[in-house]
Amino acid sequence: MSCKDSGVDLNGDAPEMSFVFDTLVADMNQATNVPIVAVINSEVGLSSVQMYIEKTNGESFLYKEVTSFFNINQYSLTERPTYEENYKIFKVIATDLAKKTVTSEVPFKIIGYKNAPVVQFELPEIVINELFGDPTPRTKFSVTSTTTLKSLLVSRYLKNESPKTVFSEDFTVSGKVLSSYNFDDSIPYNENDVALQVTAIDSYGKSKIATLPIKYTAIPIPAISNLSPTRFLVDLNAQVNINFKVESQAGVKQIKLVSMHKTTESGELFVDNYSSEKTLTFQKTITFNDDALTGIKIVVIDINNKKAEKIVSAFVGLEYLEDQWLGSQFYTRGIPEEPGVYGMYSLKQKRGMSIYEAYGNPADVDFLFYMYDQSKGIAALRFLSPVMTSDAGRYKNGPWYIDLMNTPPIPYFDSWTGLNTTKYLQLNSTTQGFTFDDVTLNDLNKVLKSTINLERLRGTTVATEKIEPGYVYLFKTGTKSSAGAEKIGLFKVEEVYYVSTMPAVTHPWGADGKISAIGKLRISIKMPK
Amino acid sequence: MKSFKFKLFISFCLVLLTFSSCELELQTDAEYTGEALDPHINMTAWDYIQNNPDLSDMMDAIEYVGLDSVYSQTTKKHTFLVIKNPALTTWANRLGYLTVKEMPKDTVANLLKYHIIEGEYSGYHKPTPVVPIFVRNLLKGEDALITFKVSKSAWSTYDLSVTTGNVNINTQGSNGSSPSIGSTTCNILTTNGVVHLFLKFTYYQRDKNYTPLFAPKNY
Repeated sequence: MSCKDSGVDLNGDAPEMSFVFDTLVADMNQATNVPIVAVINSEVGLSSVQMYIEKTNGESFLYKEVTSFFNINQYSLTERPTYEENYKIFKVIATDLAKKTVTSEVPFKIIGYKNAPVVQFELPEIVINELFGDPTPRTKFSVTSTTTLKSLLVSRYLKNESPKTVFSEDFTVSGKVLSSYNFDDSIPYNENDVALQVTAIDSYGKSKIATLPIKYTAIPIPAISNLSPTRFLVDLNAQVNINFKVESQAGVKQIKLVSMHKTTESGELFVDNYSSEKTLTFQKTITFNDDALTGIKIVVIDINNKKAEKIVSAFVGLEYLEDQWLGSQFYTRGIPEEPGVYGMYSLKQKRGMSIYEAYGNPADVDFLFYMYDQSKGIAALRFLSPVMTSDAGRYKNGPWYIDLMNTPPIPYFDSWTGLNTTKYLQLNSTTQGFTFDDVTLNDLNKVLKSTINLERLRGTTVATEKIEPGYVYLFKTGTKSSAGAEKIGLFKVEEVYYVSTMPAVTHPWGADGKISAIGKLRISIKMPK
Repeated sequence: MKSFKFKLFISFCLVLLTFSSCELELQTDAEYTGEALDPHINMTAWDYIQNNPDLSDMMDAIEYVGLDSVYSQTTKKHTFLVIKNPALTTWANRLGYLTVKEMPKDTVANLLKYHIIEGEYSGYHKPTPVVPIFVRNLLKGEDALITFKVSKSAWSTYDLSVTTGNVNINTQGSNGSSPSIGSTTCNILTTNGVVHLFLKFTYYQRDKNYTPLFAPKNY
């Protein structure tokens, strides 16, 4: 006999329930867990589905109750509870419209919250003081995890460098299943070390970063003082002493003198060994028979192999003239207010010359300096050869190279006899292989004389040969030069001064546009002795 | 003048055509009775698979692992997710085999069991929500997780399939990183349940790092 209520056949079977899982495994360390899934079928039609969670202490609570169904004959149960460690059983009671119930239970297996790995150093910090001769202790630490370790990274943090990796391993790649790891290694710390950092990551991705401070006190490197001379300006084959004092807290093991060819060490001149002297005075006589020498490197090594180095510049067989002045036409007669500044320069005299002095000694005049105002206020600077094959009159026949007040009057400069033909060329360091600072006698001897061929350097802002601070020029003296025929040297422009208004001087010039353009410059010169 | 006479002649012809009568009879009324195609095929899922050349790989796989009894029995209703050629051969090749018959039987059986759902789920049977629901297949445990959805609106809610009545398994985002598949033919009512046809198979994958039960990772 069938029993019908509102068109529903109440004689059907009780609900059937089917869980996907026999055990509900939930890991509290995971961001998400798989849902609890069950399918409940009911021939009669469901009236309610109650879900209970039972705890390990026996308590139970109604987690959820469903009484409204999209399809009363079939309910797809999908739940994602917020798990707690004491959850024990998930129980479902399905009741149909005929009040028939079915109960089904599935046990929970809860994986509790795991702490991040723990890193334990053997020492709270590593202290090394070279002054006390402290040995470098072995670095030991242990890593423990409540689960398994995924990776371990050990890095040295340094003062002025990027961190250096000491140890790195991904255990999932290497196939090691470890819940702990013991590190024991000798790490060569130095004064750059700040800390050792350990990063341990477990299988859940939880990481622990632990830091071991490193306090490293280094002994200072040896000190070199009382150096004499501070540079060598010597003739080829000259013998010159070098003296200096050395102080070392650790004690000196060795002192070396090394000859330098620009940036390259070309050989050891002296190697002296010592027995941990804390202080000493070093003296040696050096024979300068190397025309390519640019310096002597002093190397002091202490017993800890820490080095102190110093390079003493050497100019072998070279004249090195500093603070040499040249002036524009305004200075050709010499200005008592600015002694030493003239429009002509003599390499033999190693100084500027007035027109009066030059007139009687034309072979002494090597450089002429000249300037005028270009349009738009741009000063035009010129280095000229005393003898020019073109444009000579343009520069030299003006009133600035004569002195009508003199008795007898000095004739126009261009009519002088016995003058030099000096040639110039801007230095191309890349081509020549040397700079003003590291040039040697050997370098100058190798320069091809014919390449130095300009009788006029035009220093304007638009010309290629700029006469500005820092620019360097090769020169070749004339065949009649009292400084020596066809000597090749170089000069560097150190400073350039311009005066916009003609100053009041003891012997004022008359009004002349070519004289009122006033300027002077300071140069340094190197040339063979 | 010549042109004017020609135009006059054409106009005359058009007038004659307009007044000429047609000898065809008027169409009579006819009754139209609408009738849906009968989805019942009056055979078991196993018979259907055997009679469909496009399902030969599936038939081989079922025979190979001895699951034909499930596809042919009529005591319990199932929803059979049936894979068309050549998806299973491609799968076998990917795993280093020529055909599914060379593969480990457990692997093949697991794939088939994943695609046999307990109960009937189709566009004709019990109301199915428009959102994906978890259903039970013949596997147990996490690897058994599978969702089912029938599109009932031209406006798709989750997947790209917008054909009303179309079946979608593991709709994207409904079941971890499991790949979503949509039916090419669906709602074929057999004597032991319902058959839906797919070009590809699917599997459970919790996330991209999870190794599925019977497919290569991120297959």
